[in-house]
Amino acid sequence: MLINAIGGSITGGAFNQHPFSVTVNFGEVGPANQNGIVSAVIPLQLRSSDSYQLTAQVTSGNFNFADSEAVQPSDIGFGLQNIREAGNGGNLKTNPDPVTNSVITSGFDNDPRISIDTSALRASYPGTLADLLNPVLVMRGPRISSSGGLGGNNCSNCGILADAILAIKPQYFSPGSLSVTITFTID
Amino acid sequence: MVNKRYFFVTAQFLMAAAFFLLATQSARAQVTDSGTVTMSGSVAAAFRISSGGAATVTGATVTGDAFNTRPLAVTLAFGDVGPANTNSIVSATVPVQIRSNAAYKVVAQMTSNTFDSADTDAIQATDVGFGITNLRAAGDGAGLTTTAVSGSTIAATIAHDPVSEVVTSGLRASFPSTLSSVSASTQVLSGPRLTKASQENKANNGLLFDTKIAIVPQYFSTGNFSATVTLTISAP
Repeated sequence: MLINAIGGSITGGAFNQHPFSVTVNFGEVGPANQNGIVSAVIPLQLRSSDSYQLTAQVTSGNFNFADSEAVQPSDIGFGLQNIREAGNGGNLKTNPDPVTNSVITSGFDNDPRISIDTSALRASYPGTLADLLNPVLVMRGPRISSSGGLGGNNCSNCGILADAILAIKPQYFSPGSLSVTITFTID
Repeated sequence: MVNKRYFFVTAQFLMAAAFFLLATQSARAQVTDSGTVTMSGSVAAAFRISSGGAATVTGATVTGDAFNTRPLAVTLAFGDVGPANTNSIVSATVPVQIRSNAAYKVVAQMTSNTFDSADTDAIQATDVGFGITNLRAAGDGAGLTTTAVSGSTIAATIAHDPVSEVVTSGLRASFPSTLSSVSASTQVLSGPRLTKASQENKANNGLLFDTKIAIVPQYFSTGNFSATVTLTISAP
């Protein structure tokens, strides 16, 4: 789901898509976009036969670090929210319940659209892509899937879902273009 | 002994093999998986013009915009500018605020008017002094680039204060620049990128300048007049 974008789009990420791959085009994020915060909500589905950890990393990007007035990784808020069962959760492991016992790492356990701080000249967020320039643990928990739910990637009720939320507030950034890839890895 | 020794070695081998199998099964249970989110976006050159604050006026009335109002729209009613108005000059100062993330220029143009050009004794565009002065940072200027103020230049033809520079030595008062100076689209201001990466409508990331308009009440032909000046900011 892409919100407040001008000239943006989002492709990929259909339920159960594997390998998971989503492309988000935020469109215009300069002052020409007067719509407020541009954001994308991307549901991630996780399954595991053991306790798990989810790491995230910016694996590629074309940030112009030489120009501090251009869009920087710290200008893109990132958070995880809304852990829930996929489908009816009938093939989730119980005791411990992977939904209630999964933990989002502090700093990322927020919705950047709500936790955004606009008091300074430049908007800021508790968690941003600047925090993901190296692999970072963003979520962890106990075994997710029961043995009955491990038959393949198309099981509709053996995973848990969490929303990855990306947000950027249009500002007087230097003109240019932006491209970033975040890789999520579960092990 | 030989047999026992052989059994021991075999047992050792079997134990090692069993451990290898367990280790293999354990490794298989730890299957790593990954997915990607690729994002992109763009920033276009952007230019903004808005109110720099309430207009101030002497000898007239004004309705206009509070600071940061956009689009800028100020209406000045000069009232009577004939001899019935015994003030020496009627004037207005309209603060204008501009922002940009790239080099810019501002052009001014009188886009409409009702001056009676057929009657030279009626008020004309040349009777209305018009100038731009007082480039300065909005607020503490923390959101401006270091060259925003110093690098901006008012066109020499328009860089006048019509109040202080009015010439009253002739029959008809005159000004170094007037609405006639902007009867066509005229560049009045230019400069480098103004605004750092920052949010819209902050109190200190804009450049301010004053647009000054003045009329000396005189024995103009009776009647009414109106004029609209449009300021436009864009890339040079």
